[in-house]
Amino acid sequence: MRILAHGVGGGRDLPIPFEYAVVGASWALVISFAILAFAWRASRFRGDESGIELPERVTAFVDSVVTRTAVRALALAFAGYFAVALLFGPDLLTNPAFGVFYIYLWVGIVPASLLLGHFWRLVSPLRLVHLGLSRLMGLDPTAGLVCLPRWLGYWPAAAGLLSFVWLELVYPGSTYLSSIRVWLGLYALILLGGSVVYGSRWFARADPFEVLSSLVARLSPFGRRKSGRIVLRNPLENLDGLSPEAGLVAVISVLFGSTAFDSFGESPTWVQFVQSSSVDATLLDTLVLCGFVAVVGLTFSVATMAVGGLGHVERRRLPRRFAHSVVPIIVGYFAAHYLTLLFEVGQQTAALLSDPLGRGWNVFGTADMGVTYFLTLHPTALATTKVAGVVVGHLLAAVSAHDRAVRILPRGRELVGQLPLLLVMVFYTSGGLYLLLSA
Amino acid sequence: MRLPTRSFAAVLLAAGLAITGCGSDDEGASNADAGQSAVDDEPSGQEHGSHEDGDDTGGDDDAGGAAQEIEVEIEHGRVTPSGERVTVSVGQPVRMVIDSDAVDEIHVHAQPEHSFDVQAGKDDQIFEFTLETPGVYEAELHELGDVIVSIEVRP
Repeated sequence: MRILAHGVGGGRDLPIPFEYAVVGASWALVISFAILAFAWRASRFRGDESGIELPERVTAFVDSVVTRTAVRALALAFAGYFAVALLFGPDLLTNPAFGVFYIYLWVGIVPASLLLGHFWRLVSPLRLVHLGLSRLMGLDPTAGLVCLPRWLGYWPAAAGLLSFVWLELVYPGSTYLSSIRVWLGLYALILLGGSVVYGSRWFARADPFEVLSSLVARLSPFGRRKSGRIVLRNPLENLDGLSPEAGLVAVISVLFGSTAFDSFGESPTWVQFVQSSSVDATLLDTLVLCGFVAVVGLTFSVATMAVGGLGHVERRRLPRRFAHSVVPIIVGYFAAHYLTLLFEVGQQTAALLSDPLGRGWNVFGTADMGVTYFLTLHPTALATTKVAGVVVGHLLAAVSAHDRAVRILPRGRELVGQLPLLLVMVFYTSGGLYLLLSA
Repeated sequence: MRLPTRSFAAVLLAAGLAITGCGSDDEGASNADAGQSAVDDEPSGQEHGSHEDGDDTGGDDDAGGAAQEIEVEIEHGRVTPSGERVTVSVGQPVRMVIDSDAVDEIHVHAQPEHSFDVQAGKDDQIFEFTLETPGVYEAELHELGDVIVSIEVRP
């Protein structure tokens, strides 16, 4: 996120020290083979059947009309406030709309989902609009004109995510209000249009933010039983419950590939290449962004399918059945990549929020709030946290993949069969560390 | 069941220790390397005014050591250096000596922002500033849209 970080935040993180990257990558390698050699041989995870039931009161409170209405009213009020800044605020980086859109929404959704679970479904403004309109017309919001075809799966969300990261990381006009207006306008049109055709289920498969939130929420300690009862759950078992659908591999490829591209795009090597090339910079960046996404998708698909003893149909279903295991790597790398930005630009945005129209207002009394650059001022602590995030992500990913492998791979091939995937994961993790080192 | 888990943990621990051990052994050496390369790797397109760079590394501790000088040339819509990395210490002044054939504006996206109006057809324009927070900051030509250098500010 080059321009935004510049415009409001100033600089970006120092590269992590070389030895940190080496230690992190070595840990990843050791962890991977230790799991392969010593971990359990029969699947332990039970997905959505696992977890300790929380008292009935908790579920009743969370699902009560009062709670839901209050949370939704707050969310809608905030969305309205954002819309005012977006539509009537000044087209300057002092407009809080940029920070709200690129930092609170895109980056903030990850820690929020990690802590609270799948909250975006509850607060999504478009879901609310759809719900409101359906109620007004006396229609069932879940019912559309036709059923959402199974083959479509998460593909719409993957396309939406790609368009978002392109706007954020490639499009030169990403810090003009008009770009965000157009993107959000199309987003609203496609989501609301689709929800009329397919019912509210469309949001769960096409809203990039909802899909991101639902994936990350799978690593939260909260989940639900089929009955709706809220349970406390081992995040790895929670992740195990993610249903393997079409397009899931595309979603994880876009998420991981684009974050890696963001690091790569800031490296001197790439900046020098783009500036000395006669080819248009936007075109080059677009190609390389798509290239990163494609490499992740291809390496992952090939690695998961590289196992013998399975028929063609079974084998082709393997990538999506392992896709959940990459989510921790994505979250770990996301944390390493965006931590400073979320913390520091997040504070700046909180200050700017008091003056949405650039008229010297102080609506929330935050306008004169000082910004703490704690992370920037402690580069060693920051680098340690980043590497730790990446390594923990790798550990959780390797364990998830192992448990899935011993459950679904043919007998006798459980360990050999997961080897390629393990190597690809080490490649993702060390590649991520290398980018943190060189950017 | 118990034994494998325990030895699993032992292997992890041992491996981790071995690796961290290596890491910290090398630390002194690789830090020195990093210091060295900050000097050695200076891109050739960029000449330095002060050439006692070797000693600079040692004197980095006292903030505001000798200024890091960067010669910038803007000619026919191209800038040299272009997108290169320069390493300085916190508080060490950065001094750009600019020759340009076009009007432009240099922005250093730091907190606070530093900017400089580049005049056309004038040699040896001086833009000096100091960065006080560790991080990587880009000095960018506003009109041309190119990054001149990214400045790595080390604590």
